[in-house]
Amino acid sequence: MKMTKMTLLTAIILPGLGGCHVALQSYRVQHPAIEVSPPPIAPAAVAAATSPAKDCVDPKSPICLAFIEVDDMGELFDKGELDTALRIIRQANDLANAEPGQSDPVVITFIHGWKNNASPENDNVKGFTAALQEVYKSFNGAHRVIGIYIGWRGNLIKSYFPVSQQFSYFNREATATRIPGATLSSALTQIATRTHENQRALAIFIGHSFGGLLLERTLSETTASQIAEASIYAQEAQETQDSKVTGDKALAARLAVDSRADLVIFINPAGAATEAKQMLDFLTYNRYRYHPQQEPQPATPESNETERPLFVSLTSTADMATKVALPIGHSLPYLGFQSNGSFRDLNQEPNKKYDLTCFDPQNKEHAYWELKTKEEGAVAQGSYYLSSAPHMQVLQSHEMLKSVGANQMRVASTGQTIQIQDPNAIANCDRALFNKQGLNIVSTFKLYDTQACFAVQVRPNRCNGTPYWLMEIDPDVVPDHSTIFTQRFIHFIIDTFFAPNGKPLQRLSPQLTH
Amino acid sequence: MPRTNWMLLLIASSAFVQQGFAQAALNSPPASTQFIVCPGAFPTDLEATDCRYTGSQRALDFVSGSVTDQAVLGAVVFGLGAQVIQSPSEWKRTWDGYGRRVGSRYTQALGKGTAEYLFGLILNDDPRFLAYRNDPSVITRRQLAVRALTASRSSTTGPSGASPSVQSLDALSHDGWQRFGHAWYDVITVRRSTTQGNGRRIPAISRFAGEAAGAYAGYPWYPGAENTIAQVGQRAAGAFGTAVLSSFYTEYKPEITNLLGAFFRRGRQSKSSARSNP
Repeated sequence: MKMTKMTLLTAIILPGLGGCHVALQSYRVQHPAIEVSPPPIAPAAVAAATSPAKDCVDPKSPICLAFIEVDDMGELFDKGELDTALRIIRQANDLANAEPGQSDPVVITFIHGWKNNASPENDNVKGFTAALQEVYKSFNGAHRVIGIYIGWRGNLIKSYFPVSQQFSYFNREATATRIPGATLSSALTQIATRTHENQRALAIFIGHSFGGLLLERTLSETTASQIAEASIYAQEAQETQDSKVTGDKALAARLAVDSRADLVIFINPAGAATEAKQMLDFLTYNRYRYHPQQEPQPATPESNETERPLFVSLTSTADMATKVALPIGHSLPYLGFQSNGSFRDLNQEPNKKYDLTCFDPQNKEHAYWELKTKEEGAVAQGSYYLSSAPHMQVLQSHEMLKSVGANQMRVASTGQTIQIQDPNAIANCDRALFNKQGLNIVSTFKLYDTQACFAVQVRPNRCNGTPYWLMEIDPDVVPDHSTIFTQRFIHFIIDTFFAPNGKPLQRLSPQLTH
Repeated sequence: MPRTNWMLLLIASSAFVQQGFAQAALNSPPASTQFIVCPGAFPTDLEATDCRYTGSQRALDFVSGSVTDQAVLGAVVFGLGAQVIQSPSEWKRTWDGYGRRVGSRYTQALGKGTAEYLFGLILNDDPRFLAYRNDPSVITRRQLAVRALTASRSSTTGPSGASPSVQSLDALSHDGWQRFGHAWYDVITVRRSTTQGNGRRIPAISRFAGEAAGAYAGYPWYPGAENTIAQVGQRAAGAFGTAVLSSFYTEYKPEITNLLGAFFRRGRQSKSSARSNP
């Protein structure tokens, strides 16, 4: 009897365990780009509208979705996928340049996170497809939308094995750290450069969860180089007397600008803040500011609408994956690093100096200063390893406020409430009325389904005033780690970063100055 | 006889609570056609366009919860607890005893899942728990309040932020007792699986059947003394308690999230630096 039971148990469990891996494979080599039908009027029909996969060959297709897939080592499954994506962008640009009235493309590149891949049944693929339709609809069809979905093996274990799937966290984090390299880095540079062959076209990179970590690691080195190059060339172009050299340098600076995305968005990034810290330090030490070229005057504290972000890192206050699981997951390696003495503690001794340098051009007392002690808000290096960047208040550049009642706004990251003097500010969700109270609001938006008013405020007394914006957002906009393809979130992104203060969508070609 | 009373009590309370929610639904306008809000899904979620609890979803939940590693882990952990307190006492604290404890728990999980799966399949129910704020009837009332708010805004020119509609919106978000009641209501009822997600509430027969089947599935394993009606009832009550905990977790997840988030938060901006750098 005992033997029978044991055999039965083994017979059930073993075959299951044997086939629990999701195969390492590409899903889109045969059809690297598909057409997405323009959005239907009722969202209920979205799923139905996305089901037929038709190759995107017509340059006039309003929405196209291309796939680029990489393996566990970061190599492309098929170079043809990248070529197809680049061809679609070129065709859209050629059409916009050649035929008056044709719309300029918006190219949105998305890197998914853990437990996802590029398979047709994948929720992120469906969500991204629906998001492209929503973006198209948001601009009333005025822009051709090209989506590029970068697929990797985010899902290692099948969903039938939920516990094993959870434990693939470490393995997939290591993969997301390993993939970034020449292949993906050059692919993203080509996408941005090809997009900006049309100076009015927009290139946006988005990374979610481990996709955020992957994107950040892929972009950090190249973007820092591009920024450094662009600013040096621009400076030399201004300083030289030779008109030919001036022209050459200005061209080189513009090419460097064109080879990076107009905006990089990390959503619920699952990388340690140590990843963001280097870029923040780079921007801080060089005192970079980012504002549109059309505005020759540097932004003043009174006109902060000209300050634009180059990177935006957003995380929901209700994102337990990065708030709780990440610190737990990093605690064991943390102990290893700590025992090896790899982390630096706060110190002011000359050969061991470690503190936090702050830069905020809007700060009236000092634009550049240092936080040296815990009491001032500085933290040891190890703390950055145990948290994602946007969850760290000391790195946050902005705050999201949400209306709670007729004359109160609540800060998402702290729960603190702010009394609003003029109830019309909330009732009309009016940025100017908020700013009459000196709240330093960058943008406002209203959820059309609940009519709740939200505002993005420059964080008071912030340390980070660089073009790398970090903030925690309210669960009413992003409720958890995974739910990101929502009308609410898409409209928040568009209202805050692409159509601020009611202006139409346009490429701002912002310029970094220091 | 006590079991009959228990069942009657469940059915009566189910009917009572259901009546309350049905009344709320009656007083509400039809759901907005602007976007579909699947129960439990985030409002305006573009992926949640089909609210059915599909066959593949049901199969996935059954296999992942009752057959594969999650069921094995549950049996191993709870079997260890039983080993520590030596329950049942007839099984010694030996590897053989531990094996029996793990095996009995795995069998119970499998029995529970199988019954739930089969009954659910036949009844085409949707057993996923919902928070009060995600309940279709509450969503409908919220939409009504939003519409009233919009209407009052358009009819008044002055500051209208303090309109009754805003208050009703707030009330819908912070209703402590209704949330508590809803968590219980959700344990004893399930919804019919529908595309819109607003299926009729029915008694949670599949859940009860699962709990009963799980409790009876221990029969071949347990020694005779553990196979009385009372013992089986205890095991079923234990399974019911797990369902209650799951329902309450679903309801109070935001609060739990905040609590855990506050515990794990790092890099707080100090108040002293905030004061010194205006």
